[in-house]
Amino acid sequence: MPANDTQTTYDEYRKTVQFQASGDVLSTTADGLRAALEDALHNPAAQAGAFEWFEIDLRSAQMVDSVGLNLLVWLWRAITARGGRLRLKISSPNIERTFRFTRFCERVEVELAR
Amino acid sequence: MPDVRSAQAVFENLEPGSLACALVDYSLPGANGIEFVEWLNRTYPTLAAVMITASPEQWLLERSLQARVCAFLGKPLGPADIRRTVAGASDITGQRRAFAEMRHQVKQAGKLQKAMLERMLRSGDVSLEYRFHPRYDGSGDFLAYHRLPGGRDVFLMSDAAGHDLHALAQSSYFHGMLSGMLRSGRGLAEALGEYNRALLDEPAGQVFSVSVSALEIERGSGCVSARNYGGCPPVFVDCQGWVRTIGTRSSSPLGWFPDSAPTFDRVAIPSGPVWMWTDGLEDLAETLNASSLSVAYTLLEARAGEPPQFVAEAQDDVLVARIWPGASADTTPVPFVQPLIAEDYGPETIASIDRVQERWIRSLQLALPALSESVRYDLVLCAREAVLNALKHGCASDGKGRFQVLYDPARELLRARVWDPGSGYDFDVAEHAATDRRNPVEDHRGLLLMQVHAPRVSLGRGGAEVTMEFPLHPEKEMNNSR
Repeated sequence: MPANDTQTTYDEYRKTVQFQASGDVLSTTADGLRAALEDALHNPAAQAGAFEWFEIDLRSAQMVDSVGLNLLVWLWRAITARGGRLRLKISSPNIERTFRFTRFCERVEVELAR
Repeated sequence: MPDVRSAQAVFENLEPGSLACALVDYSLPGANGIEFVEWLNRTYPTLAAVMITASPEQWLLERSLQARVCAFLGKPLGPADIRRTVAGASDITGQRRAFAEMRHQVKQAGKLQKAMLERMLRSGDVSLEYRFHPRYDGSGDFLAYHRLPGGRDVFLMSDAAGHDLHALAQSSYFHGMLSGMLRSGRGLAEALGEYNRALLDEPAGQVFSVSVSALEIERGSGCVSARNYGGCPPVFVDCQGWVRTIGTRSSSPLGWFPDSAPTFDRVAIPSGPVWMWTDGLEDLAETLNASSLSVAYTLLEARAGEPPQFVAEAQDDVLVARIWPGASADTTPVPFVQPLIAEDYGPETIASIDRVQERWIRSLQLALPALSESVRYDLVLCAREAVLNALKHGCASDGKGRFQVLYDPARELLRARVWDPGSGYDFDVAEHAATDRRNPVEDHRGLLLMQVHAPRVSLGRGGAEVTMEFPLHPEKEMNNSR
């Protein structure tokens, strides 16, 4: 069941698929978020060649656990397989540390903003 | 207002207790009767006032009621009306005086109870700290100390059902009887059994009950034992660093059944303290969505007489003590590790882990308000990973996993420990981490997260025991290691 508080838009000028997530990315929320992301990846705008960036807005998240991180790794694989790049927008310095400690930030672009 | 002052002056020459009520005319010369009644309320709060007025208008009635005027007399005054109204007002004064006297007596009883508690606990040669927060003036909770022959110290923490005067009377009776029996040479178990029988002999249709947790320090044998009759079992940290209870909770209070048997346990005298509390503390912890241990710590660390604000949320009496069985009263307690969270979870907790995690956060905020957000985040994230791992892989056959957080003030760190009954598994974390660095993996990421967010991690029994340490000031530790 996709999370019902997500939203996907396409910025044609920046060739960016923008995915707005809501809340923490945890073992208890990852299934719903994965379903919503799968829906977004079915969008024609998210097919190979149609976009350069897939941007996921996680600014409302205060925690990402291992299951949530696995989901983001899965998303990174899906995006890179389509020739795109993944950008993560976050507001939590703690989540930023997780991305840095795990060196995930070397694979994706992390934008820390309030 | 000279006329009001002169009216007040009337009282200077009277014994207020001899007055049955005050008849006050609204139209005092140069002032009004409402102001005078308000002065009466402040000065003689039990004295009922009747307002006399020629024009009982709505606003005057409302103002008078606000000023606690108990009746009105309209002019012209008739003798029968005056007699009837004065009789009613005098009754009200009598009721108010009786109520005020009762309140005074209850306060006195509460003060006496607190003084007795203090005197009793300071009489022994045992080091202890305690905090007592009765919900009202008197309480059904009490902690008694007895020195028994043979170098044995006994602490009896009791909770008589209720938190009212009835409970206070029950509590006093219980401790009076126990004290007499113990001083006349009865053993603790025998004395408690006898009190149980005494409670069961109460008139039919009434159930009087007392929950008791009895801690006995046997210096000769180097042991402490606990008998628990429906109370909260004492808690200590064992030599392996695990938080344990002495005995369990599964027992009934005294006064329920003729064959009431306590849970009983006996352990070596711990190097640190033993914590005891009544169930009012557990109810308060529930209200605060925090662990009982974190509430106990916060209460005990607060200065005596200056309880934390959250005590106002207590719905029951709260009594908590930290007793040092191995230390005499005049010794300075050795540095000790303070448990903040100690909970057991079954696999059903996997689905509710977010709520459980909220309680961890609240417990840490309560006990260590100055803890940095990043350290708290690291601990909670790693604890979540370790607990979920334990519940998914180590508690398959309905076993329970154990999660504990201990605060070590001397080393300025928090230690989180997770244990499961499983057999663990053979897994090379370092190799897995290296693989992840080459190409991000999608499994066993929990262990990798723990490795990077916890400054120190040690795994025992193939990962079935995890210990993680979080310095409170990681930057200080980094500077020292440079």
